[in-house]
Amino acid sequence: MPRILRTFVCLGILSALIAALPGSASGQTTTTTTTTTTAIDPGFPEVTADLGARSFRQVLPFDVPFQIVGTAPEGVTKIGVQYAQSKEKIDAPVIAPPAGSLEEQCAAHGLKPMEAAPGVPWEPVPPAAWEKIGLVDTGAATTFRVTMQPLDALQYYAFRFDFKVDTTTEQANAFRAKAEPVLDEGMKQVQSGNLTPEQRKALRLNLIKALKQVVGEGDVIAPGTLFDPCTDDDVVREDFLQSFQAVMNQQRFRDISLGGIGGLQDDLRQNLEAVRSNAALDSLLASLQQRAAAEPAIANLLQGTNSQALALITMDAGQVTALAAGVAPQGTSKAGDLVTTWSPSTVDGFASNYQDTLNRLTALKSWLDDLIGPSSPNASVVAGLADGQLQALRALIGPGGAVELARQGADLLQSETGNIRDSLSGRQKAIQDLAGKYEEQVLREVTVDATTTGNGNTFQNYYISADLGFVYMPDITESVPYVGTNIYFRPVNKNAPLSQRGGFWRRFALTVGVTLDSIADDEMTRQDFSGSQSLVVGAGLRMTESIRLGFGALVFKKRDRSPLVDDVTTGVTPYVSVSFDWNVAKTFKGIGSTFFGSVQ
Amino acid sequence: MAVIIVGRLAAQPGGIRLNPPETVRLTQSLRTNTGVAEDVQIVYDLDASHNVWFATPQGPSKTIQTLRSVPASPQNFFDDVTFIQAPGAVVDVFEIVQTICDPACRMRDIVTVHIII
Repeated sequence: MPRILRTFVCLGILSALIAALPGSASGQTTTTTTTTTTAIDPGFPEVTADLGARSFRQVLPFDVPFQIVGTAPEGVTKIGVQYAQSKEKIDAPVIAPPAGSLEEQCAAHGLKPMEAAPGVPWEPVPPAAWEKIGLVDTGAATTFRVTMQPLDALQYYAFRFDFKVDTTTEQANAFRAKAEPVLDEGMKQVQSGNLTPEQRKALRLNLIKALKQVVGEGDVIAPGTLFDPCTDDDVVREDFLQSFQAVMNQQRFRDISLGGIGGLQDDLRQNLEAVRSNAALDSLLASLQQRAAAEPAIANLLQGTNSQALALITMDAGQVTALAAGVAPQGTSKAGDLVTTWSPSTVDGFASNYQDTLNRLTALKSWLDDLIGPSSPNASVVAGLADGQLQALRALIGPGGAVELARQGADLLQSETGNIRDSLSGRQKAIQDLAGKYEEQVLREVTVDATTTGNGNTFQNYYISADLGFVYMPDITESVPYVGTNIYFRPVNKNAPLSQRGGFWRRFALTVGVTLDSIADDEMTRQDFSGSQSLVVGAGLRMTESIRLGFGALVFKKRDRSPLVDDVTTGVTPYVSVSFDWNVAKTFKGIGSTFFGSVQ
Repeated sequence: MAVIIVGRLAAQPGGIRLNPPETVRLTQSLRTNTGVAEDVQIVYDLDASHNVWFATPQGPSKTIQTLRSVPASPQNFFDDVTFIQAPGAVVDVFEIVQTICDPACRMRDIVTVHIII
């Protein structure tokens, strides 16, 4: 091929390459991941952050601004991003939430470490941020996008993501479900209605802890509520105390009432036992039962509600104990359950049993009164009883008599257990109301400042590009095209404008190549190094993103001018060059896009 | 012989200031189950450790007493008690423990009052 033709071909290739430069400047080797539903090119390389895994899904770009994209966690309204860079690997610290007393939590409130490691600051300050726009919530996942300033190559990075999360309805519901048992158990531990300020603050801390268990370990931001450790104690004190009282007024009644219930049960058992073992009553019942077969009127006296009352006379000692303990005649509770249970329905079982015993004792008293009372309608039935027996029976239902005392005791126990049941119900409702009140507060006012960290790096191979241009050798006044390779001593992002991210090492590269045309002369004193190509060895600096000026030596074969000398030696002549620094991979990608459409 | 609590002890207001001393009305409904009215002694106690005391003509006290005649039908009773601050630990809430002696002192009731600051 004639030289002039090869030169034109070379110029043509150069023009084609320039024309083929990709119009969209994506990252140097960054994988672009589109996470939005539109096809709009944001103009920045994108890096997808996996917040759950606390990592990025690719090597980070360098020297160019880029965007961190990802799926915003539910409820997130703002995301702030900072990074820390080092040549050493950074163990991204896990941010511990503030702990300790209210005062300690408040002191640590909103404070975040300034450094990821000693001498490695978090930057930028303030953080790069994304804020959710309050559009109609469609329930779809929200993509966040934070634009970051260029990173440096060959660095380790730690990233810190700060989230402002508004609590969701689900979280508020979950909090309520969590808060109820926390309040329930927390209040059970309170053994006295005398509450010191320290005990009150401890209860408040428990509530904050319960909230964190639901919304995650973050810094709770709820100005003015008891969930914010910085809220002035006086602001929430009154409201909290009223709620506390609503619970404790009920709980403490249970406590002190149960303290005396054992004595009342003992009294009832003794009086029931006295009724059961009363000889006069036994004798009367036996006599009436004997006569009942022949006398329908007497049989009638032993039936219906009376039969239940009269069963108190014939029951055994075990039944007496069970009635006194309130576990008979109905239910499966054990005697000790009354003291240990916090369930209103369980206590209601005791109250019902005492009501039954009271009814039977009242009926027994009426039955006896009808038989032996001063205005007895059935006086004829007991006409044959001895005076002593009559007096003994009358004593049973008189003041201080066993039947009357047992009746009073059953009445007292029924009333007390009914009051305990009502207290437990009231306590339960007060706790539910309290949890409900806090649920509303959580939903309305609580924001959580959560932080997570992740690691990334900008380690990439040193940049190697193709070089295509012309060398001019002043000593021989020749100019030929050449092709070669530029070897940089660091990674280079060709998308980073040199005007902004210049510097010597982003421009400088060694060049090794071959000429595309012969430099041999007619006298044969200068021959090409191999075939019709000579070696190009030099260095150069990029003047623009792609135009390089170079210098170096062109290596060829040299023959002495004397025809008597046959020796061929290696000759060297200096050159200067102008070339096109060609990012081969990217250009082919651009060409591919031109012919085959967008390549993601 | 047996006084029954029909309506539990309540305090109105539920929160007071101690300085100057404030009065709380304690309300309760009682009946007796003996069929006839009973005279009973009512004792109110405060915990010895804290700084809330009853104000009495004799000075601060941790206990006060009163007599009542409780009928067979439920009846509401009122006791106005005044509290003052005296030596003791600071509390946010204190409880008033009531013991009903008929004459056995087995029935008890309780109510809490909080301190307004």
